[in-house]
Amino acid sequence: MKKLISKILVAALVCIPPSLVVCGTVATVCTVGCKKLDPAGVYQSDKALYAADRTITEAYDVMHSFVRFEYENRAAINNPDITKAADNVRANAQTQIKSAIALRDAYAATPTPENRSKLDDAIRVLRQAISEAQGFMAKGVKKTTG
Amino acid sequence: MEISLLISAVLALLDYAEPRIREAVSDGDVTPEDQQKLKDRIDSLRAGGGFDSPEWNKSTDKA
Repeated sequence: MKKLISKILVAALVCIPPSLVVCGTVATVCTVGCKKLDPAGVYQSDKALYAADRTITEAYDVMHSFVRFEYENRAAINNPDITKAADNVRANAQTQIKSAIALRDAYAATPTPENRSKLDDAIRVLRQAISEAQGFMAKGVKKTTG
Repeated sequence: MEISLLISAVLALLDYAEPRIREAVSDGDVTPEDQQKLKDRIDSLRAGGGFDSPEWNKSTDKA
């Protein structure tokens, strides 16, 4: 009985992290896609700029969650691939974020299609980084339970 | 050990998901205050903030 309860608890906890990631991403998409920006705000109804800033902060939050998770649980995870992935994030995150912000600033100053396209490219890079960090975090959790 | 690792993962992801879910389910437009908060975070990241805590040090760095 104790074993069964333990298995149910572990199964529930394994399901929660991916669910939280999905909920957070869906919530971001919904907020950016469905909600209107109050025109009195600093974005002056510029949804593209608002969406870019949301993605940039989301990328930071997810990458930070991943490196913190790996740092606090390195011994328990005991997986060189995950530590290597976290070190890769540590080495590149600040540059990726700063690069996206520079392109975001260029678009904010001069909202041309060319600048928008460059910003979209930087956002795609960040989305890829978000996806990788989420994947490795799930891998870290699965390794100890699988 | 496994449970504590899972709880740690859940807590880390809650940090990320909770404010986004709260904002998504709230009524009305994105307020000027919320827009300002987002802009302030971008300004902080632009200034290099948020990368100085120990978890950002590479695993091979000395403590």
